[in-house]
Amino acid sequence: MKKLIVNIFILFFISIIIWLAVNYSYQKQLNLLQAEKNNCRRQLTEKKQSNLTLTDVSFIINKDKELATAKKSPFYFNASVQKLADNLFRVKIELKGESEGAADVADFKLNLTEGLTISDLQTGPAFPIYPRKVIAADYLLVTGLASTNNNQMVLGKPNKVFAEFTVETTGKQNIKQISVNKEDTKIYLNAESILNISKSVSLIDLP
Amino acid sequence: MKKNNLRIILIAVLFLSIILISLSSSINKLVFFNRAAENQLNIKIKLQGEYDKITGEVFQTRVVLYSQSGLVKEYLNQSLTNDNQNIFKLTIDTTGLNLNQTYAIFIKPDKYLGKLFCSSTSFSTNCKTPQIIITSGIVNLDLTQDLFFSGDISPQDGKISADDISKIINQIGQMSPDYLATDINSDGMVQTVDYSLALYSLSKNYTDDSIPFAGLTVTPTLSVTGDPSTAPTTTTMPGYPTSTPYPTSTTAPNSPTTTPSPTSAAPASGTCKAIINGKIYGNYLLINFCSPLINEQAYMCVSSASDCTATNCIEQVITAAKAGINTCTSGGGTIDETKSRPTLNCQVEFTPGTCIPTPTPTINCSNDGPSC
Repeated sequence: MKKLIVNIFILFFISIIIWLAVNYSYQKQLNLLQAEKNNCRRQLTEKKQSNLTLTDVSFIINKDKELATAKKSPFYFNASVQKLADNLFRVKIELKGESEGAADVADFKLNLTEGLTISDLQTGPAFPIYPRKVIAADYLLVTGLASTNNNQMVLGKPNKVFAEFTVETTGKQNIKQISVNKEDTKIYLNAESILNISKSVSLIDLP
Repeated sequence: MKKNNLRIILIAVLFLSIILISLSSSINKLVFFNRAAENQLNIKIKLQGEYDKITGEVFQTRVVLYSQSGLVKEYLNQSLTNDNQNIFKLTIDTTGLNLNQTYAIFIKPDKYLGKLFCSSTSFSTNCKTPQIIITSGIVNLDLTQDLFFSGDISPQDGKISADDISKIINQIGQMSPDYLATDINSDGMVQTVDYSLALYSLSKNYTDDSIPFAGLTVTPTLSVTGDPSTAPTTTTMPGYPTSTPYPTSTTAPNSPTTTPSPTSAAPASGTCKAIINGKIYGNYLLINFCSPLINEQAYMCVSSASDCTATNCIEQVITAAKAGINTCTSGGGTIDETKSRPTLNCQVEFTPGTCIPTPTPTINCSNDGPSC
């Protein structure tokens, strides 16, 4: 009887030891597999292959072709004002610079105070598209942008009208000037600012 | 003598084995309890763009918690990872936060504009009063009802301007193994799709949401015209937060005190009161369950009376029930929508004026709750 009990104990120990050993090797294997999985995932992320679409290729070719002929030179905004009535003015904003120069994006922002109303905002031929034209209570913001048209990249060109709008002064304040928001007025070409701050209009006088 | 020695050795080995086994299992338990004791806020948001074929993208994100009186805590460089398609998730540690107040959350992912949430259904300009309740333990917050728009690339200034677009145009075609700032969707290359994404936000003149909790509200009236090149779909669901039917949710007994905001909502906005009755059927691990909803009350700030409908209310109950079941069963439980939906009944009442919202419900998974 004693022998039987001892044998049962021995068998029990052996099975526990085998179970521990198997469990240990299984855990080790599992960890290795997990490490391998993480490694594969990392490699997949690192080796992500994105392909250029035809649109991308066309965009790049057209942009490079256009930029090859464009000269990087400073641009600025110029304002001219025409008095329509005592309190009504037509303001014309022009993009100025050397004729060989070009721009790919431009923001023009005016700060509006109480007593100033902007209406009839028109964009000009300086840029092919104007994706943003905003008249808010306290500002006017116009963005001109280069665009691909008929397989040709069209950049912003100087000495052309950027935008035109009508200003009406209302109320008792005798407003004589509109200030340009210097921080948010920008002209860019190839990720570089080409705005000539000293030449660009900062105050628009209302005669 | 020999036999005795053998026995002693065997008993000793047996004893040691038992100790080893019990130790290893108790370590597992300790780790488990440690995790459960953490205070976490799991947030899900929806980003503009198509992410179903892109893997491994991570956006460093700034998360700021606000109370009605101002900034409470700021979390920088939180990892926002992809969950499913354009749904992304992040986790913040909420240990040490005052659990007796309601919060609003401002989230600003890298390359994207920031958005402010007062609750899962009240965000951006509608976010006037913090309504998010953070409890101890793990809280899940689904903020996928509105889209985050992209284009505010580094250095981020809260708006999309000429320099952002010019940088993208300049880098179109470049490989981006280290995720260039201009690679908006982080797919490894700067493409026209990145340009389109930013251009859409620019054309709509989107900016970071303003924070109305420190007396700094600016709400200009805009008249915008433009030609967006892409049109992502935005889903906006007006609705009602409800208590989660099963596993039982506990709605905080006291509604937070609402301080009228200096920039109050439009005259048409107000409170939508809903009284909900019905049953939520579901199953978990092949076991069917049912939880009754008896005169459950919920209040929600809505922008107009037309948002205060029974249909919207039922949709919100189903959504909340799904979220509750998902949270408490770790994704293992499902709601039987076809069986639950016909039983649900919402009586809604719209009251214009100052809004008193129901706080975000706390999900108590340990409580079994009443059965049908």
